[in-house]
Amino acid sequence: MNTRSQFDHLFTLYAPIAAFVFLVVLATLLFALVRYRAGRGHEPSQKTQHKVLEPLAALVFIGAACFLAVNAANANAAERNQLGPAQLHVRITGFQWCWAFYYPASHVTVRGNCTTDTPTLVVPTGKVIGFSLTSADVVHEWWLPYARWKEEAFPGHFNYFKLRFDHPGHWSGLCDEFCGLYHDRMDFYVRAVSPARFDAWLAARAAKGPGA
Amino acid sequence: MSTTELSARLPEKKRLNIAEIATSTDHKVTGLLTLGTALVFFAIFGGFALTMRADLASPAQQLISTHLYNELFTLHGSGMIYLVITPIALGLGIYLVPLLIGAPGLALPRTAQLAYYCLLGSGFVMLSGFLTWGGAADTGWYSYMPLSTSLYSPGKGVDLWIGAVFLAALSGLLYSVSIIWTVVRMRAPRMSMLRMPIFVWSEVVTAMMGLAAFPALIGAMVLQTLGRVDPAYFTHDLPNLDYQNLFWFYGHPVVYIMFFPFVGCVAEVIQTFGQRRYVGYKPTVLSLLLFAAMSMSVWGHHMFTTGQESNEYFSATSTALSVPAGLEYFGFLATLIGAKLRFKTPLLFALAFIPQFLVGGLSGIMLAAPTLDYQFHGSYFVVAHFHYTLFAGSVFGFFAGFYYWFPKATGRMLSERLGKTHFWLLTIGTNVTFGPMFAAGFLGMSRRVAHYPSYLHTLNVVETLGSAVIGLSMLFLVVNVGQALLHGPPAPADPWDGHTLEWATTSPPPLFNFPKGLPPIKSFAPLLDWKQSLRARRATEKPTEPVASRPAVLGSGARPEPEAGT
Ligand code: HEM
Ligand SMILES: [Cu+2]
Ligand SMILES: [Cu+2]
Repeated sequence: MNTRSQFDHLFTLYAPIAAFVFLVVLATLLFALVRYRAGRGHEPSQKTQHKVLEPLAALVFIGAACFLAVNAANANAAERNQLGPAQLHVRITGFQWCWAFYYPASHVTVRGNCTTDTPTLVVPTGKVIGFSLTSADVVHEWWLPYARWKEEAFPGHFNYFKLRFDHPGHWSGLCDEFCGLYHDRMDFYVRAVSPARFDAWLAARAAKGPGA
Repeated sequence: MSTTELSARLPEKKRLNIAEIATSTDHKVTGLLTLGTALVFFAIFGGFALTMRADLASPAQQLISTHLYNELFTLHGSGMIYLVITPIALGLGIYLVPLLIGAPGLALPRTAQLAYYCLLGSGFVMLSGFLTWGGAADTGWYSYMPLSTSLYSPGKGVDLWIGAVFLAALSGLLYSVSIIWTVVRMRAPRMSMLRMPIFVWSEVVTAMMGLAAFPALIGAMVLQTLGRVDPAYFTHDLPNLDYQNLFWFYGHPVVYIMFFPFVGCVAEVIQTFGQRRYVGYKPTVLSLLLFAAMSMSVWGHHMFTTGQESNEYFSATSTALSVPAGLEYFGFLATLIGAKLRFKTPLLFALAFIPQFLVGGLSGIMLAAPTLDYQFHGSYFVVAHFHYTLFAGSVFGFFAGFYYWFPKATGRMLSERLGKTHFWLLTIGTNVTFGPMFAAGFLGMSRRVAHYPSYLHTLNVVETLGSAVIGLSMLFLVVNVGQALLHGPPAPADPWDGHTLEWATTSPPPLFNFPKGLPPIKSFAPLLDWKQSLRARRATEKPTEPVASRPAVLGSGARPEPEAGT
């Protein structure tokens, strides 16, 4: 999964750094609390600046920020550009309050109502899928937590992104931008199947005719 | 004048004269009205949060309807941002800045007064939404277009919300103007810019950001108004995107408006209870200014998932904010190392602020990486992040300041025992409530939902129990304040052995603050300088008359420098 692996890569870089910084600050703090409590009867220091340590710390912070910013930019570029041309197109339309998935090559639409019928987006494994995402009314957001990926759906605008599912599976997704009363019902499923099964499924849906 | 006159003295027993309070241009009255009103709002909008948490104890929607849930999170968020933390941040400045720079009052007292009435009106207008047939606004605190246009949200709640936000933005702008102008015009002689206490600097940068941010919010509300009148305009992409850009151009700077004054509180509390001068005054001031400037260029990180923003640019600018933040932390820790710490309630809150805000800050750096934000945006990870900054950070910083300056403002001492109970319960409750939210968000829990998948049940039950502890802890605060005001021990002028000028006058300070003049101002800790010079003199000259055990602030001995005092 292209997006998921970029996320994992960056998260395994960020999380240990964050944990390290937190522990260093916490340890320094606890040290100060124990060592410099008034009960020990010492005199407080008169120092008001650290002429060497201060600029040194600033340099370390600048270095760390550059390191993180570069890694973040690289991961983002890789996530957006790494896949080749799309082999299948799907248009996702969010509306109050459910989703429609449209396969333009075969004129198949899967549309749910999110109360009795949660729509399932069926995709083939191993293929690069190009999505175009839009909204019929207000801003929605298509989130597939398994993919570590989401994007907003705007009315009057298409957002494009590509995903590739490496393994068959069945996951649930949801709307992640508040869009009105039944926002919390806007769930959907994604089912990744082998290309052969996908083609069979698509042909069967197409045979039922549009609007099925 | 005698020393006893300045130390312990009961505030005069006067009947509260409402008309006098409502019309007073004394900065202390305006400041306390602001803080008191914001604290009442804090109770109301905090109550909304506890109701939401009770509802979230079960995955199915149970206690309240989805519609009411949506109204509650909208008003909780809007209330906390527009009517609680921002006014507290600025109200502290209105009360304290003149005292800390040795001024008799504000430069624009009526402006501040108008700001207060805008705030009060804003609260009434926002809450009055509940009285309309469609209920209060239910579109979230940033109320994206076109959901909030009259096409998709026809009720009057959103109209009232827009009116309320207009008023709140105006209020913030007026407070900011009055704080800046006071610092420019009213500093005591010899109180140069680089002798202003860190708290004053924090208010200056806050007010500067207010001048830049609140007009953008007003602009965003103009778009909202347009959407109420002509929703068709918002079927195009551009105005919807414009709204988001404009809103976050306000919305990011405001998170620092809701943060800097509390950094200021923590810095003052650490140096007073650490009994030493702040370490790294200049780097801290510089980092505040840098922070303010840089934070105007990061708003796009709220829009990484719009697919229509320069993600790599905003990611870089946002990550760069860790530099000034790091310098501030350097100052905190460097002051603590080598201090002589007295663990009073204010210091406990200030100490808890340090690691807790750090959790919010570190998760914020994660959110500044677009790749991570694609998962975390709009999830409970973000809810955890901003409650760690705003609640575990700003509110704790505020309580540090609250326990620190309460004796000054009211002339009464709070109970340490109740204060410490409040502190421990609040610390436990806060971390139990908001800590698990990181995990919930990571696992796929979306924010702004009244029900959620059942695999998230355990985490949510823990969070709800934590929020009950938060609620419980606040009872100790209420009892403590009530008891102190009714029959607390009177506060002396300088109960904590303070460093700054507000401790050089009575508690509470009289009208015009410093009727007996000021000690000479030679650094950002003028009162400490004065006390140290008295001690030094006492050590060399053998005094003929016994010196008061509390260092005499003014009076006996040397006189204030001729030009001091206004
Ligand atoms: C009493 C402690 C608090 C509790 C238990 C609490 C709980 C909550 C809950 C359950 C939500 C809904 C989350 C969502 O679905 O988006 C929420 C949202 C929010 N809270 Fe709090 N909160 C507390 C204090 C605060 C404070 C002190 C602030 C700010 C100063 C704050 C600011 C917000 C904001 C801005 C939102 C987002 C509202 C929106 O989505 O429009 N909260 N809080
Ligand atoms: Cu939605
Ligand atoms: Cu931001």
